[in-house]
Amino acid sequence: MDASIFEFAGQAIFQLLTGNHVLYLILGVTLGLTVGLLPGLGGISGMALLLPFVYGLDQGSALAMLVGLTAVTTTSDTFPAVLLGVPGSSGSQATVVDGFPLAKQGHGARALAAAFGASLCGGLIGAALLSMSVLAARPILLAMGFGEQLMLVLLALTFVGMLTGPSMLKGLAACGIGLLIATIGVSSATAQLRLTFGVEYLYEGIPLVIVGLGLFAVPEILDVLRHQKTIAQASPMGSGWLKGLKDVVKNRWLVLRCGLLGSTVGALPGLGGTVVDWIAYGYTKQSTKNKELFGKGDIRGVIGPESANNAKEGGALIPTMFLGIPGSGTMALLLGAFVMIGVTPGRALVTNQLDIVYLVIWSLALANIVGAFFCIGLAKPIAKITTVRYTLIAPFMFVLIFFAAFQTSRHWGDLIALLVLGGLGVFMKRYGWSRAALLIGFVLSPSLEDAVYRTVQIYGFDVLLRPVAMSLLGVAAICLFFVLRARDSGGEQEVTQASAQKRLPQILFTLLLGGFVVLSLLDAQNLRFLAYVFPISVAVFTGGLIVLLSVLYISRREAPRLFCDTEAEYRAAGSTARPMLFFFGLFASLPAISAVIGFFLAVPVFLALFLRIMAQLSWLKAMLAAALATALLWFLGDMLVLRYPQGWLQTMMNFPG
Amino acid sequence: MSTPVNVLKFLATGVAAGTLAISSAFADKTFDRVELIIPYGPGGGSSLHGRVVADALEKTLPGNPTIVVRNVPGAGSVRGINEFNQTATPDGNTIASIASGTFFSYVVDNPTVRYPLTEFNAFLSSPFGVIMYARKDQAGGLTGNAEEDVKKLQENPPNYGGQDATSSDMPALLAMHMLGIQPRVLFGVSNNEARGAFERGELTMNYDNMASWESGVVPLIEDGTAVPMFTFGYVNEDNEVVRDPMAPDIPTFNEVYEEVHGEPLSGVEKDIWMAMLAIRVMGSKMFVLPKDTPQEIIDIYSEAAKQAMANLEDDPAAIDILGPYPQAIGKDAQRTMLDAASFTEEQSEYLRNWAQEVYDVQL
Repeated sequence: MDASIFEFAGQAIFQLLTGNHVLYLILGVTLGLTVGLLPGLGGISGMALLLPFVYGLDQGSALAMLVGLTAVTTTSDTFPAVLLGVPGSSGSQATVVDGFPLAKQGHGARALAAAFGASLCGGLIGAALLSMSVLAARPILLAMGFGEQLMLVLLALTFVGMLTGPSMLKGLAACGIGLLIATIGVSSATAQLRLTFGVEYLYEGIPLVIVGLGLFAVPEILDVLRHQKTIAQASPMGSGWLKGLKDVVKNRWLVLRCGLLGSTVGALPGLGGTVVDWIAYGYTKQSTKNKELFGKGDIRGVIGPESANNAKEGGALIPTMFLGIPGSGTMALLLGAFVMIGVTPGRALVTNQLDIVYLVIWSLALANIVGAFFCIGLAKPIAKITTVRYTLIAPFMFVLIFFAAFQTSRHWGDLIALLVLGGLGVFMKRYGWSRAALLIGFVLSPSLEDAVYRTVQIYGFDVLLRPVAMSLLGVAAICLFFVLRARDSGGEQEVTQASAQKRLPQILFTLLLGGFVVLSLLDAQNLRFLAYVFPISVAVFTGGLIVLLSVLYISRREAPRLFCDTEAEYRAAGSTARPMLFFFGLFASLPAISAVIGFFLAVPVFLALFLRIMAQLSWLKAMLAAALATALLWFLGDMLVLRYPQGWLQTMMNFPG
Repeated sequence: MSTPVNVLKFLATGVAAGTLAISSAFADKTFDRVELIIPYGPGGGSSLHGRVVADALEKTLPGNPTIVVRNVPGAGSVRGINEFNQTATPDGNTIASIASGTFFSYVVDNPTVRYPLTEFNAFLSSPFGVIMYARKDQAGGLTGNAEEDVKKLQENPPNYGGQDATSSDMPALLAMHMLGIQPRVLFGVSNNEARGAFERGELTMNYDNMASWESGVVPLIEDGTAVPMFTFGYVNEDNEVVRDPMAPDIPTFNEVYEEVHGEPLSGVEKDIWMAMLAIRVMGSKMFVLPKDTPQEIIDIYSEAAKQAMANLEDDPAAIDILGPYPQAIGKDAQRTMLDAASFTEEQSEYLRNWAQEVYDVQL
């Protein structure tokens, strides 16, 4: 490295720390934390919100604000993920798996502090990698062709093995179902429609946010509502935020490895940033000893993904800034914003505007520090929410996740898709099917299909001659070996004889999944080769697994890894909770009311009724709370130019909705 | 109608409408809040263009309204424009940005299209050129001489990556077809991915909007990775295809065609190409008012657009986004739109056959 680089770096930090830049950075950070906190809104929404203000600002301030926003959405999204079981953005889905159980055990503040500490370190690792890549990024990025991208996807898929749950067969079948669900919509190779059945909403495919909310958030909320009074069921001593920070220090090497992993995945083409947290989670689980607690509240399951998802942003900036090729939606927006303020990303940036590059790097580092301190400061008071009576929280959660779902494509189909996937999530949880495996299949499906098709078209078998691709394949094989050796230990629920005795519902659910596989086989009949080869291959593989599973279900007497029905277990343990259907009905009543009077009017009606009847507040308090929430919704709608789902009433007359 | 604010606005509009009916003139028509629907995601070319123009229009429209940008992406641009057509009232309070994709979906009769494109009222049209380039290290080494290079590429098909045959890649695919080049095409590849793959040498032919000329294409040419093939050119007032003002040294497609075939582009091929130029270059970004908008409101918008464009002339950020191209305003914009959206039966037939034979796609 020559001296001029340090000179530029020095100038840039001087520029950042003087004048208004820090103020704009903090403004960006504040907005980033806010959109990260709200499920369904992430970096993309925040960026879209900032764009109008960026035009006309000076370069330095605009960059500080934009980078500040991008850097911290994956910090604050941990709040809802840990405390409520609802990921604040798709970057914190994996955090829920261990974070929420920790909150249930009363360790909310500790888990949060650990997450923020890890986020901070991860963000700094990302910034460091970004600064080191100024000179060396290009050749590495150019070595990652379609063949290498394919191997990266395969490598990522091997991590599914760590997330299969107790039964490997069920986990793989779930992954297959995820791969198939993602084929819904326009086939990228032929532009033909797959599995849409003439429903216009399905043309674009099902949004990731909705799959994540449906599979994870809905079952968790309903479960807590059904079985618990509050989220935290205990308040152990010595579990404050200091403990969480100590956890980070104790696991410093894990933080470092996951940070590097996260920024690398963020930088490389082909995988996309949305799987970073799952890859890091799988890696964490595979690379650590004593795996029994994973899925039940292991602090390392929070630290791993959280270090990775903040580190990702620094990595993702590498191709965006140095090649002008954005790897994600947020980065595409950032690229657009760069152009608006007169910064042209691409190879010229390094040669002509190195000061800009360093301004971005310092802003990234500073934003991560500021964001993490904000959040750590807020962790303790906000964690108190886990001790509030859950019937007071649940109705707002319902509103929140339907709101979040609707923001993904602003179509009524969003609400219905959330109901369907929520139902799927509830049953998968009940029968011990790995929801993480389904989700990772869903996320990787388009990358896998495209990479296979492109590799075959461009290279054919010549891909076997490419050294980088083959090395990656070798790494994937080694990973697979370790994954197979380190078999997944156990599920969330202890399984007893009760699950084995009540087998029919489990078999029916398996057959239902099989039905979807058959449906996709039938649907593929009318497609051209490039559109059907992927879904048919996956469907045959998944169908085989499902047939095998059905046979095992029927023939085996005892198979503790296979049989699982948490409902039967609850009943056997003497639980007298109301049936799940009742709670799902409560959940579904919000869209049902919305269908008639529109979401905006349905919210106060639903909230007031729920708080009065379920939580037994006085009418006055119930209505006051409902009015407050509605006012907030109105404020958000006006600020962010959001729309809410309309109902029958709005189609009949010009009525607010 | 999204929020109670709209109830008030609804009432206010009612009152305003009453007053207007009495004076029956739009002379003192002012706007308070205008919604701009952009049928693509935020951050893309359409959004950048839309925001820059909206910012300038806010200052020149009577009443200096706030223009609220709403991105409604989906199904190319079909979802946003369908929604615009369905919900916008012809009072000038809602406008939309349309782009090449909006035209392609319309002219190939995409079954999801439910908007009468030619009934919209365009008041501004921003042209933008297109450049095609190829990797130098293919087909035994390209020379930069278009005629020679095309011959080499006819014998050694290049790799090309694009979205699909019936959207924004159609002109580039047609251009290669007319030159006798039969590329191996990878579909489902976005512009950004295609650029990366081109730099890696996996794709060997690519096109770009002229917006990327300085920052993206020139460096590739300078370091010897790429040679320019041709620009799509630009249509001047006399309806002649001339060289792109951003790259006057690069021949146009028409010139290369003539060199390769020994005779100028003519007949149905010429008509098709002119239509492609209208869609891809001359009408690449447009602002429209909904159908049935009164002429007075169109005039107000046209006048505001004219002033706005004059104000933007010295703005460096705007020059990056609008390029050196003359902006078509009012009637001129409307004519560009009609040119781009009208296809004769002969032309449609040609496109159908081409798509069927070359890409096995039914139009």
